[in-house]
Amino acid sequence: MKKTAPLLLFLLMTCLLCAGCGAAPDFEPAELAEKLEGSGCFTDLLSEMDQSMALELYGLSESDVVQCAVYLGTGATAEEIAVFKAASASAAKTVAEALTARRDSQIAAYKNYVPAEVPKLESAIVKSSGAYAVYVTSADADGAAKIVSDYMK
Amino acid sequence: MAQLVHTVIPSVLALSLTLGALFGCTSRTSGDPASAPPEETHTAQTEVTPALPETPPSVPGSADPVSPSPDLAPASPTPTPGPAYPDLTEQPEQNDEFFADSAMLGNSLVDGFRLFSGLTSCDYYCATSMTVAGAGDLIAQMSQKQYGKVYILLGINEIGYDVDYFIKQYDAMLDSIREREPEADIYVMGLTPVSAHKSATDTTFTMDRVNAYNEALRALAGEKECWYVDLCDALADETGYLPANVTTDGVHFAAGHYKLWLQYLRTHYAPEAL
Repeated sequence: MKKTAPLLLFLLMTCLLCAGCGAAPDFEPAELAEKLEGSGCFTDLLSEMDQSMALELYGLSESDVVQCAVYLGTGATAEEIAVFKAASASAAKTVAEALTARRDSQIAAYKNYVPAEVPKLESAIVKSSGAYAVYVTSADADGAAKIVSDYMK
Repeated sequence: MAQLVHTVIPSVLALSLTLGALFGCTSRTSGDPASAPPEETHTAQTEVTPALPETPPSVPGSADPVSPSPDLAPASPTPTPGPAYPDLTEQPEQNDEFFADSAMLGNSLVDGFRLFSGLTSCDYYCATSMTVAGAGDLIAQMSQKQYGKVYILLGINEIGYDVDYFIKQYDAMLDSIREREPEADIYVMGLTPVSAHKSATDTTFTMDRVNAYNEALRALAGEKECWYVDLCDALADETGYLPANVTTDGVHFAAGHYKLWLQYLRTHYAPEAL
């Protein structure tokens, strides 16, 4: 009995710790994208882009992406929302690399075009978790980050 | 003697009449190979037709006394007028296939067109902040392929320049494109409208400047035998400005407006493009 109690306690602690880590994310990309788009974290008019054009924009192949939801600003700003559900965790890393390249390319483009957008780009969210990868450039990076973290631990 | 005249002459006349009755002086009848040829085929033409005083005298023995002389050269055909550059009128709507031989060259607005118009059948050569002076690399890339149509939108990033200086650069660019794309119809797309608020509060992005640039571009297009696409006609509202609800900075616009632009291109093209 004296040996059983500590063992039970150990098992209970382990289960609690695993619960705190959280399960792999599982959501519709459109759900997160729409929540961000309506959050007030953006100043530009955002327009949704169809999936085939989004794949072309980010240089991704259909085999890497199951589903995505992408919103772009008018060009007056660099504001952008891109949420991808990839074919696998490995594919999600490929997508995240493409999103990082997109952010860097935008910094180069806006540096001389609309320099005021560069700070937004430098504080952009680029994150992957499980089979998901997300890129968000917004006027309120902290507000956007909180929304993303509710979906992707 | 008198008796001889009165006797011989009547006898000769009687003989002539008798012979005439026997052999006939009939007019030609249809299908009758023995009929005498029409009288007009043997009529000598001796006078110039009064209606054509400059007409030379007809050759004797010509077939028809009222027909022109066969020596007259036929009148020159009326020359067909060339294309009426630079203005386009509304034509029947074309589908995406119409643009399959097209190149779109330009700045961030052309990039927006690429991303949001829905037109994927053409090739795009565009970049944010692109100018006429900086378009050389894009033109070189474009020249790897021969196109039937080249659409150009450049100028909003240079709207602070002197108009004549801008047109001089644009003129040289058109020559370069024409040399590399000799078969292409070139469409000079005019600057897009700005919003009323932008025009009222900015010293550079005003409709006065947009209109000045566009008048100069239209004139240049005419000189260079290019077509002019009036994007203010396509995209401005009834007040002549970019609608306020499609823009945040008064210059760039949201996705739906690019579809209007595409729709305009579907119905405004060179008449002989089909």
